[in-house]
Amino acid sequence: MKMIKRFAALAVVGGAVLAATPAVAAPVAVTGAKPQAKVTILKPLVLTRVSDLDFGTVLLPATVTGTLNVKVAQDGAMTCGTGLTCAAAAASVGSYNVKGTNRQVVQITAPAVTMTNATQAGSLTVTLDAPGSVTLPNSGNTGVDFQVGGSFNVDSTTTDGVYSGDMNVTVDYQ
Amino acid sequence: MLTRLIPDPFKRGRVRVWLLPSLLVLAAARPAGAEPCRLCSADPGEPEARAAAPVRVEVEASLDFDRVLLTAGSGGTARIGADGTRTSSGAVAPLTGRAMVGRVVVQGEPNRSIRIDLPKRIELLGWHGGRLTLSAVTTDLSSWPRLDGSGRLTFQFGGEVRVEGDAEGDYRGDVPITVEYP
Repeated sequence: MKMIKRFAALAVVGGAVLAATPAVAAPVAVTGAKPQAKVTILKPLVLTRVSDLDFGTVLLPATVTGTLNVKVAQDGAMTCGTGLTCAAAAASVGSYNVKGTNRQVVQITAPAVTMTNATQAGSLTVTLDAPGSVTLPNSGNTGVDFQVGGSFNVDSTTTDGVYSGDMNVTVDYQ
Repeated sequence: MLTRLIPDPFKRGRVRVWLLPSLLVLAAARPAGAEPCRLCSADPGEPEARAAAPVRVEVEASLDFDRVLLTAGSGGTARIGADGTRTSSGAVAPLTGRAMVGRVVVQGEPNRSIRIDLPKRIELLGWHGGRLTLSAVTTDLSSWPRLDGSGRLTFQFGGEVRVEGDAEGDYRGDVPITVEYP
């Protein structure tokens, strides 16, 4: 009887040891925010001219005193320096269309333009007035338009004639 | 197998050896590949076996390609290496300086070997539908990564994204990383 009891006691101890064996550790995942991979794909920008910047006809006085300014703002409003006669109705603001990826901000660069006289020596420098950036409201063929105005100065050395020059406006994703 | 020498009260001078059935069960029930006994003597290559510090994994930086600009409709590939190098091919402009390699920190038992699992391919979902695949996922881990003397290991991961000409918009996906003591 004693031996049976002792055997039973040992069996219980053995069973207890079996239960205490730790389980195999499980893999641990990231704590907190999970690591991600992310990318934003952008379509190429397409910039298209819609209309030219046109100051129309500017009539100089017989004697130009000092420096007189002629301006067409982004909203199309024209201002003429004192003594100049400007045909505002004939003036028009320049306009471009840009297409690209929706919701992206597009930076606009509009460097100054040199207009040269077609018939005589002489040139005029036009400082362009363009928005610094636009936000694309869509993707695809619609795009968004933006306006480009500008201004230039005349003085006593300005020759008469038709002046023109190319605008080198560029755009880029911000 | 544990044996206990029990004197036989009926046969003086002789000793009967008993194999305890519960301990026989213990030996038979140990599954193949199970974690070694924590009470056993340590493997020569490992620190003394004892209850190890729990392992923790935290992300320091996600893998971020920032903006990938397509230059033509033929598409191309953008890559960020596990060492942080940025390359592109095909009709994809060079990656911006804001493109970043992913970085993860593992903490646990000092000088302990660690096993780290990442998938080789991950699907990225677009906000407006569409999918991209991040493939060739690589890390800068050694073949046998090990926590340092302070119980810490930092590693980086990268991959590449193939972009077709009609893809655009934001894409992202979770990178499932698991870590355990081998």
